[in-house]
Amino acid sequence: MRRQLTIWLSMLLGFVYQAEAQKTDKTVPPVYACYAEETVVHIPKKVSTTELDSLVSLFSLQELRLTYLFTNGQLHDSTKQAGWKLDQTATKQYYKIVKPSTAQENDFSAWFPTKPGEPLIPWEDRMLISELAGIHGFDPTYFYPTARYGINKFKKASVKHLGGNAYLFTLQGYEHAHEVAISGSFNGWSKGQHAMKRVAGGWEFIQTLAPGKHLYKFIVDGMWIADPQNDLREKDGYKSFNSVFFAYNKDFIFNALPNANKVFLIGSFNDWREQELPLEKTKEGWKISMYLAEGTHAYRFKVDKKYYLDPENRVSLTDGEGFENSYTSIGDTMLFKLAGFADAAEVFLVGSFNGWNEHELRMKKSRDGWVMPYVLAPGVYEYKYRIDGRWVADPANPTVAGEAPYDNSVLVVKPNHLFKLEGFSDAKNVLVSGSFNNWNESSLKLQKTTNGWELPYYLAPGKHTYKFIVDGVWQKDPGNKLWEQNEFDTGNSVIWITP
Amino acid sequence: MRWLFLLLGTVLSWPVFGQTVPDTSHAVAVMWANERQVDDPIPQCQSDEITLPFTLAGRLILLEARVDTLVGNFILDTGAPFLVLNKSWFRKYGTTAIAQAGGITGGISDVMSTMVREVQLGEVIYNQVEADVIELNHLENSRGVPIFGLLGLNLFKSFEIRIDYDKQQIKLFRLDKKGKRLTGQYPEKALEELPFYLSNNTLLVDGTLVDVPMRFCLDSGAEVNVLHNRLPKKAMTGVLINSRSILTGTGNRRIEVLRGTMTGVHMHKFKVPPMPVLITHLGNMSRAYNLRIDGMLGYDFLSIAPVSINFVTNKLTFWEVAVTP
Repeated sequence: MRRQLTIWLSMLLGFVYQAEAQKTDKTVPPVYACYAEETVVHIPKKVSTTELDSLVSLFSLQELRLTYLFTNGQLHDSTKQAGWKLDQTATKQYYKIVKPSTAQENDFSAWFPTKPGEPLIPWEDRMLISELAGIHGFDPTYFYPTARYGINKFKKASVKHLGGNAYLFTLQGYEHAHEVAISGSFNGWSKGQHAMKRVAGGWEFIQTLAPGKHLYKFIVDGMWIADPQNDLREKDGYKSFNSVFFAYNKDFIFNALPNANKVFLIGSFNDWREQELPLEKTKEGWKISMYLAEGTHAYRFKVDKKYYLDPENRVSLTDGEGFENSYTSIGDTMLFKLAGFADAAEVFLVGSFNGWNEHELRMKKSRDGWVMPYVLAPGVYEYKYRIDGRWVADPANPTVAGEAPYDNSVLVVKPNHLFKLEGFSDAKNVLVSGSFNNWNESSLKLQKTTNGWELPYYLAPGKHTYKFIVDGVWQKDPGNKLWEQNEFDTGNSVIWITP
Repeated sequence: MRWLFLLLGTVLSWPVFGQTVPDTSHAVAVMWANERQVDDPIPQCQSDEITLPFTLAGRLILLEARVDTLVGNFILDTGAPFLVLNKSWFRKYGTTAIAQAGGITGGISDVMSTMVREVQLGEVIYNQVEADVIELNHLENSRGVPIFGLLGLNLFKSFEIRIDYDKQQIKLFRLDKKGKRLTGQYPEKALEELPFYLSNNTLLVDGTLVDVPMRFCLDSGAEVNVLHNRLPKKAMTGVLINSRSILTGTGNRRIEVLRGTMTGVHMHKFKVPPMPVLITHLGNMSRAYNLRIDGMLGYDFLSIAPVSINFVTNKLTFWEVAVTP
């Protein structure tokens, strides 16, 4: 019964569409058109090779083997086998290549079932389609903004530092509003959970912030507004703006020439732009407060057209162009220590943090080995020592990625997540593999503890999926209730890291 | 027997001459709707007008809602008939497998259904809400933010819901029996008013594309307009195709996708401005609930101007954009 109906419907569809098709004709046909009864491709006969290539690429026409058609005046056998026919009734200007729709394509029963509650097109397909349409679903800069440096720009300070990590956000006015909330990158752009407190003349909210760049808006009775007192704004990815606030972590002070006219800070962090970062006059001299990203930065002061090193900073180096710069580091200094190898002539520290440059970070000889202090931002790095041209993984570091001789030592700076697997005391080898290491099956070994296995690790903000591999057997994290299904129907554990 | 009804309904409803798009009967749809009935949850709220700010993930509307104790992002999806929860976050919920007997393929669906004690959206509270629980991890991975579920159509059926993409704001208006706002206030001028109808909680609007009758589904979960790739030639003359791609979709299916611009869409008196459109095989879509659907209108249509959907009057209204001083 079902099959009969299908044939019936297909015939009827074809009949109605055919009648309609005869009515419409266009002088300039579309290159590619897909109708109920057939797919039609028109290729102009006078077309350059470049244009032809671009048509093939734009319309994914590889199957048609058009070069063969242009050379031989007929379709290649493989094209014919795929169901394409050359329509000889076409005009002199165009090749018309036609592929009739198969019964299956117009067959209701061949289509996919809609599950109740499921969107009419599966979300996986929707996401693919959106991607194709150039819609970028996720802009990490909106949720996890980053910057190398930053200074605030307020008409009137609406964000005040209360000490420590606490900041007071204020919104003047809007006294008649019923509800005002703050929403920003620091609270996952929540839409009402962070209600501001009504105070005389306006609204306020205390928020803890790590040093860095933060985006925010106020929500006044459901209406989004950027901070009217904050002149630092960025497009919000749609048609409006977000306010930008930098939580500071660095003061630069220049008191050597208090009577100078103008003092600017210039540095590697702002690409040495000279007029961008003016110091403010203080009682003692000059000062600028700012946010500076973790890492090592070179800088100088420009005082009335002359350059000065920072008199309060003894660390200075000469760069390749003969300029001497002061150097400052933000963040924790890691001390790389290699014991032994007293007879070695030279030892270099080489790692992902310096682009695996083999000759940059020469280690200093110490009493019982070699040392190298280096400032690193939070993250996961791989490194090795190069001892007189020989690669050696850090003997003091049990965490390695890969197998010898391609084993790199793994350094986790400021870990923000502890992978932990309780029990399995008889296991010989426990690894973690996930989206954060491209599901590498041999890279991250957990260390045995008294009641299980663990590995402190740094995960970037966002979603991560992972599994443990216990003596070669994959399994979800039994200590994590959050998991999602995977293509093997075995599930992956899920972690969300918020900044 | 069901197929006999379908055949009869289809043939009887089919205009014999002069029409190009086969129009399946509404009677058929009603018969199939009986397969899965979900009660519309009853909203409780004090205010006659509720404002909900939203953010956009791509072009998807993210609203904040609470399902029992869990608060987070939900997508406003007028293409979903009711509340849908992301299985990753609601795995602990007791679920019942829904055996969808007699689906067109004759298969049995593995969709799980559950009952949520309380849902809160702004100040609106719903009790005892039936929901489906499905995997939405592709959606979540693509958007990079936790997404707890989809707020489907039946949560809004006693309201006029006004979507304003420019202000990133939803307004819910409580209505009287005739569909008038209880606030009594209509500060904006209506630009266009279109009738719509619901079939199995799917929002449908009739229109034409180059004079060919079309039935569109209105779907706030569609980031791009999509047309079915089996349309008559006359309709397709209204679409300028710019490119074509082959994608690999669910279960390694090959999906052919054409990109273009759609002009010449009319909905009653409303001449719809040219809109970008993708053309693909709407497998699910065009037979959804056995009602032929020729296309899906999403973000590009719903963001033409602030738009209201009034479920009492069954009218869709575009409002003149208010000029802020």
